[in-house]
Amino acid sequence: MQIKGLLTGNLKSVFVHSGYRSPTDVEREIKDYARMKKGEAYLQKVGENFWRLEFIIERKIFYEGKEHTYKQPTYFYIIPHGTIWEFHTKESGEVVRKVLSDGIIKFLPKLQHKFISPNRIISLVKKYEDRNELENFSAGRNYFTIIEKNPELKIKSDDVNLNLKSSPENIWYHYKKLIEQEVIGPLLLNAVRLTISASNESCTLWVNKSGVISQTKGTERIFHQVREYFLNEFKSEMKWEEYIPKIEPKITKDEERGLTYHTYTEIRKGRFFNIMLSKPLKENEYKNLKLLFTKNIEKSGFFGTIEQEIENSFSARTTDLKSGGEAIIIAKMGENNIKITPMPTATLRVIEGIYRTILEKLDVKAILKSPEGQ
Amino acid sequence: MLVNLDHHLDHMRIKNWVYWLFQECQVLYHQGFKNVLPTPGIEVKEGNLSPDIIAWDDTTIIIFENKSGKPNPEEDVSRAKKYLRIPIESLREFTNFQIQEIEVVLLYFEENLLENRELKEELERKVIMERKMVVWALDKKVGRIRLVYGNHTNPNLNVMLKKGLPIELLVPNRIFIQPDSPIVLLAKEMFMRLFSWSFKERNKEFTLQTTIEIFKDQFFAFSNSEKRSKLRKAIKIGENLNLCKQKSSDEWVLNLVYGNPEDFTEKIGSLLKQRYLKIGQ
Repeated sequence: MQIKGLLTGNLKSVFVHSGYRSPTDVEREIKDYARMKKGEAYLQKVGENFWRLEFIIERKIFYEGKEHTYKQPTYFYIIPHGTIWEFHTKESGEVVRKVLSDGIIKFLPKLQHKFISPNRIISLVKKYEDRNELENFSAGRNYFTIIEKNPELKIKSDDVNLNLKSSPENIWYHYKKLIEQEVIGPLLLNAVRLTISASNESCTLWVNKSGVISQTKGTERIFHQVREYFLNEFKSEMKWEEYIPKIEPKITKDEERGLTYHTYTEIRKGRFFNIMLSKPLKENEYKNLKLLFTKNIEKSGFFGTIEQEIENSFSARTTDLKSGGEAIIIAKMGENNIKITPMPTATLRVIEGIYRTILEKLDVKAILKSPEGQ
Repeated sequence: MLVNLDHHLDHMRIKNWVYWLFQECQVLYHQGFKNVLPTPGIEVKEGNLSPDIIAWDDTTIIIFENKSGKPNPEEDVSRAKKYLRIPIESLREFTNFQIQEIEVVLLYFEENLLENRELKEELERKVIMERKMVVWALDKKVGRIRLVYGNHTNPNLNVMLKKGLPIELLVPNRIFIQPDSPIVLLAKEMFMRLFSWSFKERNKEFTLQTTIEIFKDQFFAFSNSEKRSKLRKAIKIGENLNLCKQKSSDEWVLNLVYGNPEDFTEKIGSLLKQRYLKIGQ
């Protein structure tokens, strides 16, 4: 779908997970948020599955030595694709950050940026391999280590930021060395800037792990092609919701024989997701993993309890503090897979959150496998 | 009468291990037992029954009674007999399968059978008289189940169990409480669920209905009044521990700080520190 009309500027699509049924359900919250920021918000349904949000922000300018405030209208189109919502706009990156990323998405607890995994970004780079120019990329790691001290384990806050922004002439060299060959260990690909060329047109795009695709320059047609590519990927991922259990109580009466059965109907049967690691879990990674999902809220946003620990394996019940969903994580030292079993309260955000945390905080490369065919 | 909480928690573990055996890709599922129900509650004329697990293939329904403590031959066999008295026609109708046989499995820890020889022999004498009762023993050190007494109708099952059926000891739990669970266990599970619910809804105020909703995948009471009474008792335990405070007769507020949930979860953890509990506590 191409959106034309009021918008001018470069296109951007921000994909988020939504726990709300429809944008209309959050109209009041968005208005409250706008008021809090001394602005205004108007939400209007303009199509079958298509809302326009006019968000007026207060801006300040200095003119002739005086501070003046003025109201600037900004426009976003909200397109829900099931539980993934897209905010589509031509506003500047600064406005998108201010109004959406640091604003509405942070303010509304049931919205959260969709994670675009490094594998997905790499496959985009590969998809256009023969007709693209990698302009820039950023990648990083965010380590933490544990110090074992009696009587307890202490987490050392030693974030090592290996973020790198390469120069255009060295870009492929750095990309191959750092991302493909992993000379300094697995780095998480945070974003890429890519110019894609077709017969007589080209488009430069910025894709980052927080679900943002933005057109820097060039034709809109190619932007929409890439947007569709991601959207299709997200839609196929949404089918995984079928593997999150949904259980309803059921009472069956056998009037003839005077029996009543209290049981359940499994509306959806739960299945586990596998996170395949590039190498077996070492002792320190095993310990980190346990801590990440049970105690280390600051690093992971998860909190939980160890349910069972047998020899060098554990099962932990963890809650995603952003969405409130729960999952059970089972891991064994020396093995290169981690099993994630969603509980009925879980959503795909929870599975994705666990996967993202493992990618960001453990020194391994990992692939999230769909339960299909396991 | 005192209940040993460790025994009960072990019992819940066994339930989850057995339940796992019938999940897709697991061994008994491949034997045709593709249908499984955790803690079904069955109201019969003589009273209420809540076996641990029931599972069935096209013709046989197996009802599990798990014991984490030492065997009590009289009580265990009498309970199994009650299960066997459930009319087969009713089970056919309930399952929508042409069930021909009902079998009851009494499952014990192997060590409890070995350490209590007299009870084991008495159990054997009683079970031998019953055609449709079998005894399984679970060795939790190696993670294996074997058939001790009796025979299943399904010969493959007998062969498999005589050799020893490997069992996974680290499984994702599905069953957390049952009708005879101590109220503190219900309270622990309830506040863990309310913790997640509160983060999901960004709401600290809950009602009795909220607690009913969050437990819809667990069976712990036969009637609504029993359910409500148990939930109120569990909330009261939480109130005493300052996990929540009452707002009105049917409303409470969680004493949870979103930025610092450790205090809340530590209190939940402390609920199970008491090892022995009076029934109903």
